[in-house]
Amino acid sequence: MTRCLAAMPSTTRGVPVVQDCGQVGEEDHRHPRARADLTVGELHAADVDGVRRRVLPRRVQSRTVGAWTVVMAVAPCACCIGFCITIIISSYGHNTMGVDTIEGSSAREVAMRYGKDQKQATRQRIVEAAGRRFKQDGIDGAGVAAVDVDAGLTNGAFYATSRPRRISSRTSSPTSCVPNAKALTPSPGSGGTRGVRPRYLSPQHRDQCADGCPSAALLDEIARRPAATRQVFHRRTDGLIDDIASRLDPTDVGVARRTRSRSSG
Amino acid sequence: MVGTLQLARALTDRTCPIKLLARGGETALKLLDDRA
Repeated sequence: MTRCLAAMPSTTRGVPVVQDCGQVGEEDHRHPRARADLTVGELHAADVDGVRRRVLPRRVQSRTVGAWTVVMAVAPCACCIGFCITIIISSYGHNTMGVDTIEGSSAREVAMRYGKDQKQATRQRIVEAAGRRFKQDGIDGAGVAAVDVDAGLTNGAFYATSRPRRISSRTSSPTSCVPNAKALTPSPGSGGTRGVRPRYLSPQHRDQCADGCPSAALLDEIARRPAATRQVFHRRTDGLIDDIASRLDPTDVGVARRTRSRSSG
Repeated sequence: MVGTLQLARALTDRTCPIKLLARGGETALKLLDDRA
């Protein structure tokens, strides 16, 4: 046994037997005392929030061992004098796991430092991507995975930023309605309303469903959505109708008042 | 105009929707003129 241990790299002495390389890094942080082979000497004291605690030496072993993670299965063998130590040298990739554990912590800390603007920008990307996807495939036909791809996000980022069904039913279609309404009413007066017609009823608009009018793409589906969704769409459509009406008849006081209050609110 | 666009999207024929869109545009203009 002593001879076998002497043949081992010095950095592995005192290192606890690692049964499962894939779980070592995480277990260290969550259950420090669960590593039964750790001695008190391997721990060092730290002052955290005024409380003296014992903390682990933060994966020093994995890094000093280098590229090799050693898994030792100690088994009795009749042929040997004491024990036969079988050393299985795992692949190079396991060491990167250990480093990733350390660097992953800092990556998470960096991720936690994302500001409100970043979250808002991500949410906006999701809303826009979802709006295009809904207009293209329908509200029920669009899946979260497709929206993720369109927005360039991972599934986790999507769920961390938003609630999918809310996006589908309340956020996307009304929000995507706004830029379209602005694009379709380029100039004031009835001339602006007339200018809408050639573009709205054009073969290009017919073929570009995803970037086109949400009403034409989603109207029949919205009629079957819950009341909350229809209320949002109703408010937005009211605004669009008043906008067009005010262009057709600028002297209509009621319409002008509603338009002003809506734009100021 | 919304209904005209929806109908044009639903049709598979290539020439009929173009006529439909043109006719829909004319109708919309007529409605605007009548209102004026």
